[in-house]
Amino acid sequence: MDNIQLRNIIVMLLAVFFTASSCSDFLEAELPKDQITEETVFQNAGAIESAVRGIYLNYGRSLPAGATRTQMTTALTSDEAYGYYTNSEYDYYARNAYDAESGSMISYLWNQYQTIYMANTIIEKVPGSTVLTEAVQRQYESEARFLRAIVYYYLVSTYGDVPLVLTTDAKVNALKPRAPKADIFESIVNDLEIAIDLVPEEFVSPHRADSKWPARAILARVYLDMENWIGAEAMATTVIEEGPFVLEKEDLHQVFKRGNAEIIFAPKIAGDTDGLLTTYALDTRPFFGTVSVILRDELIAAFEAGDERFNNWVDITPDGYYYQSKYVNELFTTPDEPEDLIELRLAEQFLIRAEARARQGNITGVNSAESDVNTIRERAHLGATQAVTQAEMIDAIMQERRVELFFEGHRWYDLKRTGQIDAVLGALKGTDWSSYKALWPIPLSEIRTNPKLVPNPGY
Amino acid sequence: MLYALGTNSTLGQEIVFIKSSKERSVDEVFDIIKKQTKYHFIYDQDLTQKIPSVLIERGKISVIELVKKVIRNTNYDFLVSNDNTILIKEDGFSIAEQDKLISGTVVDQSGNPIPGVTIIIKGTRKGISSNFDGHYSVTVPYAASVLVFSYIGYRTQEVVVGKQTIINVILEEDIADLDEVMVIGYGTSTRRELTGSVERIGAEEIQQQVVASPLQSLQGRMTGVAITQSTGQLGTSINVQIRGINSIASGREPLYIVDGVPVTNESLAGLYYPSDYIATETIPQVTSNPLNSINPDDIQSIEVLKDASATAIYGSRGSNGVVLITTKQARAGESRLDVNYSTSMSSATRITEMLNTAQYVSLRQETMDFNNITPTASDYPDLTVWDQSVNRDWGKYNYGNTGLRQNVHARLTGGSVNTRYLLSAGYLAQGDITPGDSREKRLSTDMNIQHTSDNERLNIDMRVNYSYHNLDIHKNGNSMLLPPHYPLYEENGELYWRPDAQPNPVALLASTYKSDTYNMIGSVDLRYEVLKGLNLGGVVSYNRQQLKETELKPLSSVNPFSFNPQANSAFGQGGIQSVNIEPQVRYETDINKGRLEALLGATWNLRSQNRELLSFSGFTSEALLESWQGASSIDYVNNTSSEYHYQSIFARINYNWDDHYILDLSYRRDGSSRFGPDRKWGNFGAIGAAWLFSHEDFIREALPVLSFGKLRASYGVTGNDQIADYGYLGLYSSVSLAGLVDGKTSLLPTVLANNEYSWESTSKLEAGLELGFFSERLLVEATWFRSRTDDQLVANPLPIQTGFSSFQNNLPALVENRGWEFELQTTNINAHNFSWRTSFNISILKNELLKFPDLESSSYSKQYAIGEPLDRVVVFNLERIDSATGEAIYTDVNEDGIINENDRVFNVGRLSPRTFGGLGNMFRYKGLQLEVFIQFAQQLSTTWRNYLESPLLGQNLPVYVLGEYWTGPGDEDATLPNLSSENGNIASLDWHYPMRDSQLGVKDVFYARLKTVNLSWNFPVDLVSKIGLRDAQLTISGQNLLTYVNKELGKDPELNLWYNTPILKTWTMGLKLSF
Repeated sequence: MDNIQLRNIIVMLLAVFFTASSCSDFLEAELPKDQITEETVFQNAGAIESAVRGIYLNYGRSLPAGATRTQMTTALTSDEAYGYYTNSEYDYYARNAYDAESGSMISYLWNQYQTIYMANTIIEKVPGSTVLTEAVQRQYESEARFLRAIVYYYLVSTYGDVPLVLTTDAKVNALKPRAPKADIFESIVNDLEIAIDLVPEEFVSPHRADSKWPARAILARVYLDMENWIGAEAMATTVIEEGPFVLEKEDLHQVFKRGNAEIIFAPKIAGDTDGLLTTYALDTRPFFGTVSVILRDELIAAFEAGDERFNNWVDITPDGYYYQSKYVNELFTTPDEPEDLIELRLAEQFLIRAEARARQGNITGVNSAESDVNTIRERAHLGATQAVTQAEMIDAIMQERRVELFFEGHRWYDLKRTGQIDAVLGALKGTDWSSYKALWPIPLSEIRTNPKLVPNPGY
Repeated sequence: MLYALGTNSTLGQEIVFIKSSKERSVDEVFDIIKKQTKYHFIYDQDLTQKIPSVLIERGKISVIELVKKVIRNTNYDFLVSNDNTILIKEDGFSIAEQDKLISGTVVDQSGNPIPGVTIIIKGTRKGISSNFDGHYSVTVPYAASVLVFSYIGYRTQEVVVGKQTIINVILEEDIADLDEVMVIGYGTSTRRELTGSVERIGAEEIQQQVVASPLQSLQGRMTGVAITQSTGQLGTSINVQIRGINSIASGREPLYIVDGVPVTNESLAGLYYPSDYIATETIPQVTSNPLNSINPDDIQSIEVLKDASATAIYGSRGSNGVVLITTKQARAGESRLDVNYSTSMSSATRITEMLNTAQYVSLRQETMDFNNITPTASDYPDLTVWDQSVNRDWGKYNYGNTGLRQNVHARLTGGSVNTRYLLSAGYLAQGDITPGDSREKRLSTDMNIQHTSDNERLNIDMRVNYSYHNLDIHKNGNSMLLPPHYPLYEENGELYWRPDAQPNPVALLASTYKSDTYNMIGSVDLRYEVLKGLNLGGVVSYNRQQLKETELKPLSSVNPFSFNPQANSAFGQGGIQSVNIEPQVRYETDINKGRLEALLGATWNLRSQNRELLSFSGFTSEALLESWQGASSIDYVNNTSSEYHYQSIFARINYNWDDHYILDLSYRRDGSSRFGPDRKWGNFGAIGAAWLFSHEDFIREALPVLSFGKLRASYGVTGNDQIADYGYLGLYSSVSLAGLVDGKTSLLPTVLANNEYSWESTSKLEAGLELGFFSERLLVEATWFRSRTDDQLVANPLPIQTGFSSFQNNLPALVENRGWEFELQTTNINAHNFSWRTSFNISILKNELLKFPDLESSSYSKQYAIGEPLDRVVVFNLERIDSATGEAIYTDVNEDGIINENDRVFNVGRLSPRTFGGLGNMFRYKGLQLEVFIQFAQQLSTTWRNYLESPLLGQNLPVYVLGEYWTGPGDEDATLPNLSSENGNIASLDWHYPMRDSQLGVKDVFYARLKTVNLSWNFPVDLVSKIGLRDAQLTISGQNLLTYVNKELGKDPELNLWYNTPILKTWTMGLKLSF
């Protein structure tokens, strides 16, 4: 072998090894079949639609706990229910024994920032999308804003000031401090106004917030919290009078069934491995004869005699424990009458308007607080309210909210909103109660990872 | 053909260049010629002594002239053959003697003939092997020919033919051979020449152990290599930890290479259990470990590379050490058939003793009394309904069977010196100690074909290993925990069930898990010598693993009182496919008194992986459980796939100066698809050096007993990329059946994009001293090492307000492993008929987390602590059992009045062995051989208190609880609390939870196990040869026969939990025949 051959070999070898150490195309591995990149998602109309559904899923699924779980947890933290087993998680809620290290017990709601992240992504990426029609873009943005608003509403009502995160940049958002409540409410109202603006009037189903109605309904509730009585009354009136919703008067048992005309918003999340409404099915109803979450006697006592709601929505075990019967479907059974966990229904709108009117002094007469309260009492087969003064009327409204909306995530916030929480829970729970517990603790893990988060007082 | 030299011969006219005028010995002159020309020499080994040095002047000189110059004035002459051999012969030998017939017998030290010894005429490719009687005959071309006798396990001997016609040879057994070939990364070396730390276990040591996985055979036999096995269940995985844990969160597995092919040890099994899985039912922790599919009988050696010098050539994959598995090679010679049959019986080493019915009932009754409970038939049938005269030992029921094992293996090898072949096939059937008919089967085939061209320039080595592995097991319901009088059947003969979740063990047997794994490893290694010393070549290999698994749960195995009693079946399928292409260039040359070996290589590795899982329920017929069409609903579907690309260039230079100083440099540049676009590449490398001081004259004179002395040191950096694929991309995953929204599937973001992270790196430093005394009859090795892993690949915690709780990133946390390793090998007696050898090794390892920024705020805050080992165990501190109330008093660390996870902060030690090793003794008397091997370790082990339930729950308890419960006020000696269901300040329904996780639940123990006793007898050759055999060997061996533990645990020290499948004790009888 001569030198030229040798040189050729060496050149060839160097070429091979140079390729081995430089060519990076080879290192681009094919993507997995079960995952897609964010870039791909937003280039594909069907994938974007799935990502929008993902927000609902994260918001509503029972595992690992969506915001909807709050309906039951606040029933326990307030005065509606208690845990049968001592030292169970329900017992802790009922004794308000949470602290910053209570883990998933308190952080499940804080974890709804994931829902906010998903909504932020849609709000950032969908407008101007080349693969979606304008109408669809508007719908998705509206849904994202609606869900973002409702999550913020829960966060601000539960934890007080919370970080206001409206973008997706993790580097920026990781160190955001808590924003004042007013800013959060401003953002909620802004989101809801835009959400209402973006979508048509036409109501298709309560499963998706793709019409103006769910946003209007939650806005009425938000206004009530903000003590914007005029706004609350106006918004509730729009929902009651212009919306397609009808109060169920014949059979109260039907109120919580899928397809009932009273329902404004109830995301349909099915097939979750631990079952639709698992927490309800498993823990709020008898399981091998035992109910884990039991209605307090005080709540039972609050029902007037002959209240159809008591007859339809409350049940009792053979050994005398009361439990909720609004939702009756159990795990692993294929329901004849499917149910979805309801977030917004018409009855609440009447009570919102009643309160807004009462606060403005419109107590009795046509189109007054009284007429709204009576609408609700009437269908429960109860006589007209006896309240005449503003204070009496507001008490009557609170009483009506208590028995109409029990177990639907209102009582805890009503007690806080009306300033009664210390009096009511102090009397009921004794030393277990301290006023600082009206605000849930910010999870310790969050305070550790974001040094700018200040803990709530008392924790 | 042989030519006498004439002046006008064209042979020998090549010119060599002499650099300086100097007196040179024959050896030195021959070296010069060998280096500069293609000639080689055949001459008497003692020629140098017989011929004086000659002054050779600087300049050019022809080969002939030079040779003539050297042997002038001696009684030697020379011949040059046309195959470039120069033969130096004594004058008396005449050419006329060519083609002389030599014959003889080869025997071992005991005088037994050795059949199958390879006899080659040096410098040629002619060879034969000895027959049954150890007899051979060979025709040699001339008197000065040298015969080379070699046989595995014996020291190779060279004999100059000279005037002899009968040459009888006694082959000496290889003892502690420093020159034994060791496989290292992309090459071979010897223990003498290594600059790094490599452990080797040979075929003999592997095969005398009865193990399911070849990795198990390493236990106790290698320093720095901790092998642990958590249970004795069939198909259970073996944990291999080389010099401790380096990584906080990324992979801790070493790199496995089988015949040059990187093989993943990841299990492909992944059956998902749907929601109705019941807590007390143990899921078989089966991992169909791909390495289990390699038949230990096919393995020639397993080498473990530990330090930087040995592992850096594997660069980024070398951080956790490298395990090289080399299968048996084809051997030239007459075709030889080896057949090996063995049968074994396995039983449990130790089954935790449980309460009998009387003890159980009385403890339960006391518990009832203490809690003022009146037992009712529905709640407490064990006290009211069940027949208390029944007493069943559930431990025996569960683990008391004998597992039978049958193993057959046959290997055929032979061929010419040019083309050699090996074919082998093996079959293994292994039964289990659990009830039912659980078994493991393996069918394996192995093929190796090697070819060497006549001119020895072309070498081809092709290997194919294909195996089928089958696991068929029944679910183990952990009946250990059942009350001793639990009735299996109702009076009417139907299976007994209770509304609570305790499963009926007989019913559970109907539930099965089956897996089939197919594994193919194929490779072609090709080398061609382009120029003298320059080899081009490479390896192309392919590995395919395919797994199918099925889990069937017929309705009869499901508790009819459970939520939704339904027959259920699940199916899984997974595959890994890997292609590896590695071109290589090797160059060898002599420079001055040294030898230089250089290697340049590149790698393209492409691995893809997929997995599919499906689970069904609602079968109308039990007979259709395996039919997807037979199900009415799909409970779970999941498919995943991933691809991994890997590319690198590597180089090594090894320079050995006169066997005095050895320098080894290696470098590797790796690219991995697991990192973001600008972070894919990393550089790794190592430097290793050794000084063989025993070769220095001054040492040789001062310490004549020191036959070998080496000081070595190495330093280098290796890496790790054992993290999930695609972690740098922002990814969405679809959620299907588990989360339909409005009846449709949805997408959730699962991974936050991060382009920033790159390789985790481990810097390794090591120094070692190796000494051999009395011609290596005593070998001592001491090694100190320290490795530090930085840029830890972890899930960096994020506040959830960003939308994610963590993202993949490098963390500047530092983990250190350091330790000492000692090895001792002695040949105590090496007499004619009797030999006795001893080996001992011990490793002392320390693991420490040196640095972890913001550990407190990370998700690892509970698990790790600065200054503590990564595998530390933290427990609750049980202060005492209150003598007045019988409550267990734990230390309330944060003084919040509640005992919960936050109070579990007491460090009790490490779970992995921190000091371990082995002691082996080998005796040989004539044809009889006995090996006794003891393995020992110091580690933390769980006790019978771990996972102890309250007596209120109605599960049976280990017999050791007797007398331990608090009996009443004033009881100072109780180690278990009162029989109540509650304990004051414990934040859990299950108050026993802090009890089992207290310092009483674990103990730091030292244990020593009689790991292997192997007695084998080689039938006398003259006997077996009469029936046409070359060799026959009968073996009786035992594995895990005895265990000594310095503290009472109530269970085997290696077993993870007392009620799991015990570690096995095995007796084996085997017969090996060679034809």
